[in-house]
Amino acid sequence: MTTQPRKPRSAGMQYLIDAGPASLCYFAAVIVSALVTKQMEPGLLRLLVAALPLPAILWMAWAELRRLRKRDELRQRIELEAMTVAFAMSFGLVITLTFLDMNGAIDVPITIAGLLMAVCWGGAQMWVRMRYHYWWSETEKEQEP
Amino acid sequence: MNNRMRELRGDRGWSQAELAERLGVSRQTVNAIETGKYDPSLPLAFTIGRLFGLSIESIFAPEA
Repeated sequence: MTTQPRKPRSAGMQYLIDAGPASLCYFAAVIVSALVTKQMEPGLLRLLVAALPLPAILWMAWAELRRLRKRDELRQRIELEAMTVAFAMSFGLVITLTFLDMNGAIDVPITIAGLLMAVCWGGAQMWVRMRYHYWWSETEKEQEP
Repeated sequence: MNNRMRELRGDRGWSQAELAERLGVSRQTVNAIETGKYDPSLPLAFTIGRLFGLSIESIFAPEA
């Protein structure tokens, strides 16, 4: 009996396999934690339930790292550069907003920090990928011989 | 860093995707090397040299 060569999975399907379970677990933990903590009295148990998404976040980070290690070297370099730029940008912005908030110049909720980090990461990815002409789309015009 | 990747690939009639598959990298990586936007690591440079049957210094040269 001969076996057919396995068709390579699409990038989207591979991402779902690699990071899907961790992401699902994270979203479930966030929803459960948000709903349950509202109905709990302050105390240690409430703190533990509020920290419920933390293991899922660590699982997501591990899944992303494992995924990145399988990528080619240019993609690894892009991710590293983007993360460095994004960290510097978001850290600077959060510190600036914190000082402005402490001095009463503006009133900034702490929840904005996560959004800022995500926006900085997205912007850094765009900037670094533009530098290396490394687009998400696989339909980019190919240089034939 | 200057390189002869495009010329060598053209001689063999390979597309960027074909060369990328032989090297085990993405097509974008081959494109970035050919356009001089990215210099490959030493292991990848050795793989490129082995694939084309040439030494690294005959493919890659520092910019004058």
